[in-house]
Amino acid sequence: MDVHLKKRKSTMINDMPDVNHRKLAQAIEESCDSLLTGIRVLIWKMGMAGSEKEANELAQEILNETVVTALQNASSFIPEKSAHAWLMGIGANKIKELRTKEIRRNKRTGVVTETYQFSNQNVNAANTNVENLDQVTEEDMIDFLITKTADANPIRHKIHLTFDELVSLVNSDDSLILKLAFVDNLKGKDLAATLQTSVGAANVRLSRAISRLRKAYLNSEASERS
Amino acid sequence: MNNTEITRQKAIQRYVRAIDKGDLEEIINILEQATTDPDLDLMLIEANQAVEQEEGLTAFAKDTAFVRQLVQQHFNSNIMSDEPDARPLTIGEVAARMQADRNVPKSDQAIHKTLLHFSTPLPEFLNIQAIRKLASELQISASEKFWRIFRDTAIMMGIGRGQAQMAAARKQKARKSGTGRTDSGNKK
Repeated sequence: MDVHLKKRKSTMINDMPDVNHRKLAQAIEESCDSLLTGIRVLIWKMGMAGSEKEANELAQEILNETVVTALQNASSFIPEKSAHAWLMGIGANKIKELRTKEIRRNKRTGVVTETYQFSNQNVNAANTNVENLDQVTEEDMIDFLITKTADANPIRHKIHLTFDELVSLVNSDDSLILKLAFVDNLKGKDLAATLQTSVGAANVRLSRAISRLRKAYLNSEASERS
Repeated sequence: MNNTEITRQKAIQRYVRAIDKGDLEEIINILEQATTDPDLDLMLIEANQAVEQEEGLTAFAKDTAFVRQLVQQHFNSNIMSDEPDARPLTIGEVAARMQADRNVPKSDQAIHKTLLHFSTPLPEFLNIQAIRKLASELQISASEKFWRIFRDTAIMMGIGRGQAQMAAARKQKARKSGTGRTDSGNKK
């Protein structure tokens, strides 16, 4: 956090009249690292930085703005709620504003940077894919995997395969994590320990496996129909 | 999975997809949902850390990659990536392999989950007596079948590591003698 922000923050904290505000200041201190990580990840994945250095600098800048906005709106902070999610929500809105401004400016000046072009193409491609593949959503797929047996499955009309047939559509790594999560019912620390990775990485891998399973299923359905 | 866990699983699913597709609107919605669910919030923090690591954005990941590169350049070898694990096998590692091989008897699944988190090293010689002694020291009660599979898995993992160690030793010896011969082929 830069010196100016620290000064502004300490002035604001001193002005804070009640416990609620002091709790926000404390929450900001505690969440700083995870906020910076979250913001950096969003900036990078949105294609808003061309290099790691740029991503780090922009993340720091957005974190500073997030903290200032949070302190200005301290009265709407509810200590019983998760502070990180609340602050990260402000940060994500800042990123959204920045992206919108940048896109507008580029349109006005007729300049479309490679980065933004790439990012927009990604989003457009993603939207097209979603439109084409909307027969079975990823949430439907989770429901199916949880209920597993075709007889008990409320979305049976959508997915015509058994659990084993379905997971055989993806590679062995994906198939393994899906079986560990939905047959052996492993989650969180247990799933991570089995895969010998962190809890976050296990959850991300599981999410990606579900996405690929859905795509594989839709592809197999499409090729069967044709 | 209960309903709350299903809701969280779906939220994480949407979050990872939104990150991958650049959908900020969806990310903001999920963060809003997480303000009232601290466990979901923690899962989002962990997911961010995992993606950061995956993308090589962390200082740690960067430093590790840099150190690895330097060592490889310095020794002109791939010693870091090929170095076999010389640490003794732990109970948790064997339990993890049993799970990955889908080799856990149903009746022992609860105790197996506990073992996943044990970092206790295994004795060097793994016979049934040594396994029994270890189980009694750790006050773990599981079926005979479980311990038999556990022992077999540990032995197989030990053999795997032993072979890797021998291969690495051969490689190092070859390098020292200057033949330049590698396991993957004859480089003269």
